Amino acid sequence: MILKLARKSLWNRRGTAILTLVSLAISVALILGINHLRHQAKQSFTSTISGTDLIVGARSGSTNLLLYAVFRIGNATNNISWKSYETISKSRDVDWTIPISLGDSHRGFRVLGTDHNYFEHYRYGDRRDLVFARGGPFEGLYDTVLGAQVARELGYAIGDEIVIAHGLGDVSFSKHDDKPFTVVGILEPTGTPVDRTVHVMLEGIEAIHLGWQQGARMPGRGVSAEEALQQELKPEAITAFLVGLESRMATFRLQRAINEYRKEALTAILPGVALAELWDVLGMVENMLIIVAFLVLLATLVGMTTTLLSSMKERQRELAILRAVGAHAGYLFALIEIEALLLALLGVVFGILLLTVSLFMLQPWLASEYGLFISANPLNGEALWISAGVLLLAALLSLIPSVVAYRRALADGLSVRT
Amino acid sequence: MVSVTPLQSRQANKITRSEQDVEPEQTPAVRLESLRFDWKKRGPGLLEIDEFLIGRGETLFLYGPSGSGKTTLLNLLAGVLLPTHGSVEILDRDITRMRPFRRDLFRARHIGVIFQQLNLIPYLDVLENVLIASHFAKLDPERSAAHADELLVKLGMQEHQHKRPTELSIGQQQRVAVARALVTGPEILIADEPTSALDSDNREVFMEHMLLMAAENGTTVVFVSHDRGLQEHFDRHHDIREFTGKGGMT
Repeated sequence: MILKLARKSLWNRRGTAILTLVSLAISVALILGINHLRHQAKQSFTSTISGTDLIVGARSGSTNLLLYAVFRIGNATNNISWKSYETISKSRDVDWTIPISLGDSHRGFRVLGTDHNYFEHYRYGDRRDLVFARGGPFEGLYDTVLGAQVARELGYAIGDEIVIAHGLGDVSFSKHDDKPFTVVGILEPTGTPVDRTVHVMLEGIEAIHLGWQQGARMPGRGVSAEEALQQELKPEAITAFLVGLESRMATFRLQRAINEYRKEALTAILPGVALAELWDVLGMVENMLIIVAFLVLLATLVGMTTTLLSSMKERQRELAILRAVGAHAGYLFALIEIEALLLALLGVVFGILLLTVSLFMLQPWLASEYGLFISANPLNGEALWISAGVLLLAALLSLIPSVVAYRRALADGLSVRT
Repeated sequence: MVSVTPLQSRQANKITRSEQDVEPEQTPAVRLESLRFDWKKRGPGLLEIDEFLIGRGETLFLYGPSGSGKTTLLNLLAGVLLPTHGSVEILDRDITRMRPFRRDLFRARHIGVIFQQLNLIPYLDVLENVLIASHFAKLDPERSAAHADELLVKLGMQEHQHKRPTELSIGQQQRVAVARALVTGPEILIADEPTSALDSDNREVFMEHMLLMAAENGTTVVFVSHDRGLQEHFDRHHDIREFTGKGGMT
């Protein structure tokens, strides 16, 4: 009966009730959505690179090395000599290595020099391979393989020619326009920085820099593209390299060996550990988002309380009638509480529905536009706890109107003060 | 029903301050004793009643200007307000000493209340409004439904039983209020200016219905109004000012 009364009473005030419900649903969707994205983002972030046991670069902090080697953000402090690279890649325990040479760009996207190991051994996410959407790996000196986002944003197709700019500026004045590259492959979206990378052969990087010194073209010493093909192009240095081991047992041994490498100051990091550390830094933002979402929710619940409280005036008569026919003051207290809980429960249900539908609809778009692979099911243990928290908070806040109803019931009796 | 005791019968005879003496057949329906209600917080005055009896089946008319404490007295009778001092005995039971929950249940079962207007809960239909009283009285739903039906037929409201109160005229709403007040078969009916919003035709119809149906049930009626034109319908009448400390009843 009390449920029926609460339901009918809410329906009787459906105008404000529905508005309250809408704002509740939105804020529940917001807080659950942010929580969901947080988990998904963390998962996606920490699996930006997988299957790689060590990342090696010139001596620097692990975050810095991770940022430039994996995220293509910032610059290396120094290069690694080809000799050191060869020595380490031939050492016992090492299964494969992927050299990485950075420094040039194409219309804002980083150019990465590497070799075929990249397409063979690079893994991301749940140990997923790089897959070609079109074409295949580079074979020739002036071949290039584009990440999904590069191809999409710049509208490139197989066979297109691109010119690589020297340095990293978005608009660079010094271009390697004498040696254009041909697109031979385009990768599927991965949701990792690979999507924003232009891949070329290490030797290609060397070729375009022939006749360059100190980052500038030397007049009269230019080497044509055809001439460069004839030369033996052996890189002298690379920026970093990824290492895959025969056995993960050897990880720490090799890491120590590299960190103590005598001929050159090197740093080897464990990608998983470094990613987790970096995420902790980013976690500040994540916490801020959750706090904002919580405040939105709180504001909505306070709004609901205010609505209930202001409705108490117009409901004095209703409460007096219930008192007159024998309702206990506690019954009126419970009636208001149940109304609030009913609203909150509906808010949670509609919020979850709203979020699920939005995720479901956004999923393909996020995947294709941003390479973000997000599960459409926001329900997990934590979401249920948050929902329970919303209900608890609603119950607590609506104590205010409920107590008002209770006290009025006792003080006013059957009369109505207006 | 409580059997008659000679002592109470005699007391009732002696103490009843009625203009026409009524012979109470049983224990009184209502007995107020050394009742004080301090309402300083809300206004001046003090309700003071040394002793006041209302017999079973008696109909009592209380009149007085508005603000003279009529509603407060009704609240005390209904057990919604508690007196500062003294006792309110309804059907031989002192409701001031009941625990709140029992008192509310007691009201649900033994007292029917009709307000001035807006007696009905707007989001329930006529039948639901009537049956909510029997719900709180914890009466058998089937028998209550039959009784409600019977009452609505008598009041000529049966065809409207699924209408919302807002679809009814005020006169019709007040008739539904009578059905709600009587559906539990209460011993006492409290009416607080139930006709003040009605025109004279409706007023007559209402009074007729209410008193007839109360009589059929043997219900004691306590009716409050400032309109003395209605007092002819009742066994006894009292000026509320007799009880307010300014009058002569102390």
